Amino acid sequence: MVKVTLKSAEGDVFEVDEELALESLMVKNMIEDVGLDSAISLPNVSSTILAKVIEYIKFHMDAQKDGSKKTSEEIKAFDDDFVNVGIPTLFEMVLASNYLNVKSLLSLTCNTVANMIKTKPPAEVKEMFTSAKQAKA
Amino acid sequence: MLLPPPRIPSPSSSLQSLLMASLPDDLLVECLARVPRGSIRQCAMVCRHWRAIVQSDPYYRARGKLRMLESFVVVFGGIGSGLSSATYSQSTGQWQAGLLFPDNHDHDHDTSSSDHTFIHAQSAVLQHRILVLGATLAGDCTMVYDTWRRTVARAAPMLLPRKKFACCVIGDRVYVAGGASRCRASRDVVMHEAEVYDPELDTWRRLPDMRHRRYGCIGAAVDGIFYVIGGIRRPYAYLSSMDCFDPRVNAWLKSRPLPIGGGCVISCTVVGSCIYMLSSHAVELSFWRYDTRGQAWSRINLPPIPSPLRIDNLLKFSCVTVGSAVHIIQVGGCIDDLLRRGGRNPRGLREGLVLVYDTRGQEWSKAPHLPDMRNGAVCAVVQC
Repeated sequence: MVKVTLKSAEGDVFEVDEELALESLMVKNMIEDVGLDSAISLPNVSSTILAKVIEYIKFHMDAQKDGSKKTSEEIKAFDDDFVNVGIPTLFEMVLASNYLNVKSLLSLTCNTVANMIKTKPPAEVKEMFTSAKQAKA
Repeated sequence: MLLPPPRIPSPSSSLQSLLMASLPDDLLVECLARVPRGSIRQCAMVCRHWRAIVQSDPYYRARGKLRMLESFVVVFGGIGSGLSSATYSQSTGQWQAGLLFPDNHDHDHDTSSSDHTFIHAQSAVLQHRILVLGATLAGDCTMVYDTWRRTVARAAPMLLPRKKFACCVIGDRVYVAGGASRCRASRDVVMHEAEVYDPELDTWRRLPDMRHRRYGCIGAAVDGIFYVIGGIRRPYAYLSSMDCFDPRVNAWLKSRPLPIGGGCVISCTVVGSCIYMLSSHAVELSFWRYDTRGQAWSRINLPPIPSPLRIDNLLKFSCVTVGSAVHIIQVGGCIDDLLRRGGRNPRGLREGLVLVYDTRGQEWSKAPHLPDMRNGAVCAVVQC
């Protein structure tokens, strides 16, 4: 199995299967442009978030494989748990999935943000987004 | 300015920059586009920046891409200082009645303009907003109903107040032509003037004059051409022609013929490249299709409305398109009253008939009646 080396913003190195790396259309384009010889640098993605993204892709790739015993309930439970994070982390995942161009993750994270907004009165939404920013700062 | 600015303004206050810096606008659009229709109003109240986001073109397009837009038929009527409305949802198959009042801060307290008499008004739909043009007796008021925020606001009136004019939307512009101007204490003047509305700037601009003066005409847009159909040039002098305006060359093209000599056009709507038109000739109703590509009119199945029936000012029908179906909606008046006035027996036809013509199967069917509403007059289909 061919491996791809991804380098996070902090310079941490993640070695992943090529098949997994290709799920990111951004990485796929990079590989097509520069080949597999050097590490692919992702200066916009932190190590924590990159690890999460890899975890997400890996789970869904396994779930889609023939012989996978994962039910749609289990997949949903994974997704729910996966996005059950603080707002700053959630926003970073929105940014990272957009940057890495992983459509399903972008959709999942944006839906999560929308679900948080839709039931709350405007003042609470404001509060929520303000504290997210302050926590990040 | 009542309609949204052309671009999303960058957040100005420190609070706003604090709020929004966490996600760039394109991703904020992605997130906010996923809230249900009923929550958009709340989003618009979070801050000015979010309000601008949900009013922007990218936001509307994002919801379209996510298949979150649905067609609704909306009928408006005027009541005192507000509007009565009835909204039909295809998914529920039901009408919902409501009342709407203009935002106070946009409302000048001029008593003459606080009474919206919609008899001669026209509607124009821009994304999730419905403009009601010529909404007063003097024809000098423009109202904007925002279906997402459920607000009514005022926008710039036409440069020349008019009633019984033709109207259409091409691109993101509203075009009007013809009609009659009400000069105080004098007779109506039949108009050939045309104007275009730019919603971003909230301004109207004059266009070249139409070839014929006409009022009581109806408008439609197909393939970027504004058709101004029928109407009369003076009492009882019906025009059997239509004028065509091409905004790309800013000019009126050669007029085209109408099949109904001496007939009155009631309402029309567009499906694909065809215009469907309801008209009446004395007491005979007729329903027509105009193929704009082949430039040919053909007469098609009559709607199940009793004939002979002389359409007068009290009885009003409006045609709109939902998907590939033409809906003829009796927005005002009562057929039984009309028959009684004509000395004939009423036939148990209540108000608010809704007749649906399937342009593919070429068949008529009925949809649930329009609920009772006062002064129903203006009808529009909005995808929101």
